[in-house]
Amino acid sequence: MRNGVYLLKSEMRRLIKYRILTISLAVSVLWMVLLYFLGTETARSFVGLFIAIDATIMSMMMIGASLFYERQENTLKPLLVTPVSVGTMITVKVITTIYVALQSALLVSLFVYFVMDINLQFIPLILLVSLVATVHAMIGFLLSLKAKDFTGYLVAIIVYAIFFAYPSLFMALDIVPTNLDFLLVLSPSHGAFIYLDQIFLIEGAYAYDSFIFIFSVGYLIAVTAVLYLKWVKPRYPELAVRE
Amino acid sequence: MAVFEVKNLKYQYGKQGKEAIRGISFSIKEGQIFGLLGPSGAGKSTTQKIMTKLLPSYQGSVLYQGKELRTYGSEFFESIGVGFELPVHFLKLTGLENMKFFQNLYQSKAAIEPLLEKVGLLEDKDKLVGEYSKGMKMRLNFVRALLNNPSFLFLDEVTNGLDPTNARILKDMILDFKNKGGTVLLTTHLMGDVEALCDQVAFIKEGIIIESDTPRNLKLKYGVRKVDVEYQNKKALKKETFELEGLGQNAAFLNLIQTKTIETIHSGETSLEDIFIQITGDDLHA
Repeated sequence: MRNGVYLLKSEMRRLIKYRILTISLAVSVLWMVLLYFLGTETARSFVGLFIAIDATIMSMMMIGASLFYERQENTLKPLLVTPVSVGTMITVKVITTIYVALQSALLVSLFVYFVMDINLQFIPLILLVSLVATVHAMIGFLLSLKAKDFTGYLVAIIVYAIFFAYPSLFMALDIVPTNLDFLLVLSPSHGAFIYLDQIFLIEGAYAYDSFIFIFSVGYLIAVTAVLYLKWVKPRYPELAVRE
Repeated sequence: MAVFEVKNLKYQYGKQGKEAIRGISFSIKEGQIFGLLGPSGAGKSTTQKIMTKLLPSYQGSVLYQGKELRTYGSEFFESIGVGFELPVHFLKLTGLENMKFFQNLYQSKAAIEPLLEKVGLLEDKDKLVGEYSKGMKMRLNFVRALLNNPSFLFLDEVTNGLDPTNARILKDMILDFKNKGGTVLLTTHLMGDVEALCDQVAFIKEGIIIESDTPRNLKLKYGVRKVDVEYQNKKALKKETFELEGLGQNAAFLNLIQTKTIETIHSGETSLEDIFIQITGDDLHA
């Protein structure tokens, strides 16, 4: 536990030192400027999607960048010969990914709430972004295990996005008919695009107790657990040791 | 007492992969510097990775302090230090920040600055590691291995890329570690390091240990029992070779050393480098 807290603090310091937080802030500012110029009504349709892109694709990018950069510096391997457990190392990386996704989501949300007068529900937003970032961090770990280098990893993310993220994004934008959503029911990114979008579209109470929503949340938790226990944790040392 | 006892160790990369280790056995006694030698791809690094728990799915038995390695938790890592073959540092942190980062993960903590001073890095402790030369990074690697006051050191090509002066400093520090009761597994192909440091060596090739003994015994076993004498004779340099057996009663030898100006006398013991080539069939400089 003590090592986990220390490792988390060190990881956060490195996020600052390696300017990852700065880049994330810059992306948030870009979204804010874009939303501002879109105007309140159009922004209401897009803000959830921008946050969903950050929580899905950006979370995967962040895990990959962190892993491949550290592998290049050979700093993953020496951690494996310290008293820190593999579970702690993975958890710390997931928490920092959630932090970056939440920072971006909250900055953009506060901006549209206070500046553009768009209502939203903050608690569901925080919970959904955390869950979506977690499952996509796990997918990022999985793709890192398969990819030989960072270029290969980027290709894997693009392929993932084509099959699992873009269709949901297009559906949220009404480019793809919503009656085809049964095709995307097993996509981990689908819930992110649909539910994060709706947080900003529906004012007041929203039926987060609907069966399909509960199923989606349960599904994301199950995907996270299976990926962690079956692939990520057992194979993380192999990723770290690979030269 | 054996600190490590390796019995019939086997390891295969992947289900269909190459069998990198094919049933090796050896033991490392407390206070010993054990050299694991062999050509590239022989299985040295794989063996070390297994012994540092980086590769858990091995076959056979690896006992550490009498207990199977698989059964150890984090306490195992508190007692060992690992010096990797390549630099393992965060390039955008300073040397000191790197050392503090790793040290804070351990319960036992060595004084960092005296260690940096010993390896000649104290003045550069606040420089980013990205600005260090390869030799400086390797010295920092060595300091990293000692941060937790380990009782067992794993060192992989520890003097690789170092100039002779810094290589000597590290070798002296390794001997100092041993003299204070520490035990070392040294993986290397630098026979100079082995000659200077090792109490026991094992030659590994294609995943099998093909020879294991003390450096002295190996030299005796593989050396030629003869003596070469170079001497001055009428302003010319001459050389004669004598059998080592019965040298004290060899009249020609005794006459030579009594009547001539001797330039050099060498026994025919071979070097570990020659033994390495003879045993493994690989040229170190190829």
